[in-house]
Amino acid sequence: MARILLADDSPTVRHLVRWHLQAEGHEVVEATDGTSAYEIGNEQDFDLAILDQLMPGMLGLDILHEWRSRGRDFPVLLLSAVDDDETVVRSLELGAFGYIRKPFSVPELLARIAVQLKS
Amino acid sequence: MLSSLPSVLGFTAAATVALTVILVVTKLVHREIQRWQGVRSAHYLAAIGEMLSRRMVPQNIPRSWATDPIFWDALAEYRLLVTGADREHVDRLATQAGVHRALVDRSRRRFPSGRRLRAVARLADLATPLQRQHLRSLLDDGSPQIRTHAVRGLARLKDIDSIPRILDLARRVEPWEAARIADSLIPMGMPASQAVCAWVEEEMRRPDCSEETVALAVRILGSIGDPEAEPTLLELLKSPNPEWRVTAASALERTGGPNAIEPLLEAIDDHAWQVRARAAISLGAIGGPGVARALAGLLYDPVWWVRQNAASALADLPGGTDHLIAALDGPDPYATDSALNQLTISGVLAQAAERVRSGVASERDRRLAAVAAST
Repeated sequence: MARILLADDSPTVRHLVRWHLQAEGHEVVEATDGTSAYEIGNEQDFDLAILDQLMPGMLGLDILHEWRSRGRDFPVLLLSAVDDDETVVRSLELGAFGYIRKPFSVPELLARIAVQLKS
Repeated sequence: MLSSLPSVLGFTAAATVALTVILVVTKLVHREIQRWQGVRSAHYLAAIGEMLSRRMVPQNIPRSWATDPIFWDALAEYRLLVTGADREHVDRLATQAGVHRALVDRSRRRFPSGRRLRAVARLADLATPLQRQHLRSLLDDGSPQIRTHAVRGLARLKDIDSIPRILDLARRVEPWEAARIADSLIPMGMPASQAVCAWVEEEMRRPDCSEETVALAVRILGSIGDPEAEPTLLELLKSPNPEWRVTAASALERTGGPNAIEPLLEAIDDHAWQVRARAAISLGAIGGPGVARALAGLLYDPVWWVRQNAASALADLPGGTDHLIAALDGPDPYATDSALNQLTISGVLAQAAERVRSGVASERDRRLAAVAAST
């Protein structure tokens, strides 16, 4: 069982992803905006974080950048409707283990998370 | 006069109090409605999410859900979010709940326009091929908003057979609606391009040809980027209509291959500067032998935009930077200016200056650094 931070301003995404992660026995902590996601990630430890790129308060990439510069190095998966290669490359350069574009395949998302948690 | 003053003041005070009470009550009612809608939305999102996650389609979905616009919104939101089997499952849920039937029903003329519009907008998001015929019938609706949603729905269903009818609609309507229709067709992708090409070729032969709609259709072809559209675009590039030549030259940036190089090289001599400017960009994107040399010639064009586009295209071509550097010493100050501008944007001057500072500069670097310092 892993502890996962799920940050997305869309209740639909949070509900869907949370349901699946909880069904697999993981503990899910939710954040509804960028600022609270950043603060929660600073204060608590997680086995993995799923960040939406476009959130009110702070962008997913900015959160990732700030965490890395503060030594917070848990694995991060970016989830976003932003479909440009530059953002994808930047997220990977900053150390995200994956970038999933919306609309997304739930099985693919879960498989990526499972592989990351195993490693 | 003075005796009636107290009654006037009394009436004014009473009216003010009454209006304030009405305002407060309205605000409270509105807030309550919004809260209730939020509760329903959360309820639907949770219910659909659970059905989706468990892969179940209950037989006893409450009938009232089918006619609730908040349920439609929740379904549409999930449908936009997921792909593959999950998306198909959302479609099955919508069918089982009777949503498609309700949406078709609500989009009929007996309903008020606001409700119809909301139903058609959601039908565009949720329709299955079974509602295709109904969406087609909405293309003749009197409301432009309903027509544009119908086009969006048909485009989502990749209804290629509707393309000629949709483009015929675009030629009859206001420019804003035609532009929205064109934007809606782009997501149909490559399967649509042959039908758009066929429509363009037929339209060009009509005596009452709509020049604007042909230009719009060419823009769709450019955005789709299907190489199969190249012959149609090359024909348009030779047409007497400058707007068609501009849009065709522009569309060839994404659709053009080696066969487009020669016609585009001819287009850089076009008497319309807009065609020359667009052809320069497309040539830069396609590349090929002789292209850099031809674009270097465009640095001496009398129009700033053409010179600038040529310089920008050269920066992306192998050997193009050499042509830009050569133009720095040319006799034409306008060409020098465009080349200098592009070399600055591309960072060539800054890199040369850096190499001079690091002591690893070539003769060319020193010359470029001197140019950079003098500007």
